[in-house]
Amino acid sequence: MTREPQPIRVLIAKPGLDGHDRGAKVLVRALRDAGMEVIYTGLFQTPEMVARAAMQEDVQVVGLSILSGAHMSLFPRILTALTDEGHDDVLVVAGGTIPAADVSRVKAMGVAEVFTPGTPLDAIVTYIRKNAPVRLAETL
Amino acid sequence: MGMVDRAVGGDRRALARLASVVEAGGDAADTVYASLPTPPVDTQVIGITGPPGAGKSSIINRLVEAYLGRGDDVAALFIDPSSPFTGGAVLGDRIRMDEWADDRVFLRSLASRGWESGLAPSTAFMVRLFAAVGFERVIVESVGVGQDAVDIRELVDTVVVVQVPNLGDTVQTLKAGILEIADLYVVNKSDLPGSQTAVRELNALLRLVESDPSRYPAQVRAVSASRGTGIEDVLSTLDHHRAWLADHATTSTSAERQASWYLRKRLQAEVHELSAADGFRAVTADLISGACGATEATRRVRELLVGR
Repeated sequence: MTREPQPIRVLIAKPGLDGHDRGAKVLVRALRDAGMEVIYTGLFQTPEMVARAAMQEDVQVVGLSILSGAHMSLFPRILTALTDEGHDDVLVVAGGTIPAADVSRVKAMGVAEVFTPGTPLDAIVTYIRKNAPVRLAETL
Repeated sequence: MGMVDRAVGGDRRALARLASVVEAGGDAADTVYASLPTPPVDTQVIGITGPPGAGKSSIINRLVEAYLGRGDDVAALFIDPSSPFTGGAVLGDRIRMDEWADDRVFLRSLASRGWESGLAPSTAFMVRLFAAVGFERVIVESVGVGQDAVDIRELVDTVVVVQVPNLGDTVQTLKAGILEIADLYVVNKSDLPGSQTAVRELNALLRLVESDPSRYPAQVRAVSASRGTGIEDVLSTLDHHRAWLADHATTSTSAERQASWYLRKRLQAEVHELSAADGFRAVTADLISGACGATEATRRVRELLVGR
């Protein structure tokens, strides 16, 4: 019996003090409809909660939705926390109101791509499908 | 050091990766399963089931808090439905979880991946994995279910059915199915009107018939997961059931029930996959046209399955 390829597992997180989750919910729905398994953690997540959830759920992708303007302080803490959890072989992407001037700085931190308002959902799905790390069979 | 050894030694990252291997199934999962050590403690596997929105995840959050408070470790598996159209899933139970920055807690979400009865294909093996690495409590939360999803009782030691007020009249509690399987009924949202009625009706249902001495006398508890009331009582009832099980040897072990469940469901899933094949469609067409009867059609499908 041939095995179906495993669905891509994605964590969508709302870090920090940011109560606006409509964008995150739209994206969660779009990724679900694209056949992915999407873990949504809800609002007000600390960097450590995001990283721990990503590790326990063994996701290939972490999507950070942020509209509070705190991305420059929260994103480095999340990336560090992911390394602390040993879960650094993960594609980290971000979306929300991230000013154009900050995009290159966010990418320099290690966020692979930034999807600002107006990005077509298809573009996000396609990007994730293309770039989600493939989990190679490890030595057991 | 191999991944299994690292997971058993407490490496949570290794455990998370092993869970993915087990979930994916196939030869690698079989290899993991074969190399798991005997669980170091007598793990209590607790199943939590009930309708969507009843508060299953919120109750688990409170149980995690209570177990941690007395120094016990606890793993929870949260199962949510996969889409029958795209295979995708939204796994949203972590939303109810507080921050548990403690290695004694491990939470994992699973998609049902097309298996029915509110459980994921890997559920039995996941339970075995978390027991093998030493979790004393493993909680399994089913998909939100209605009246007839009773399979969870095959996979766990203790069945908790969560109910909420105002789900219907007393005839609902008389119906067969999910309201027969609980060791513990938890009426959540006890802060809402109607909860005492729900507790009373469940208690009345349990007293309608003489209790079967070979079965645990089911209990009813009212809680408010949002306010955190009644949780200690639930915890002590779960402990009571565990002690009762230890004193009452049952005819089949949980390992036997889990293995049997897995094999039955796996064959069902294979039949489901077969139903998309040309040979199966040909049998369906013959059944519709009357070229063969139901018994003959079933025999031909059985042959197709064996021939795969």
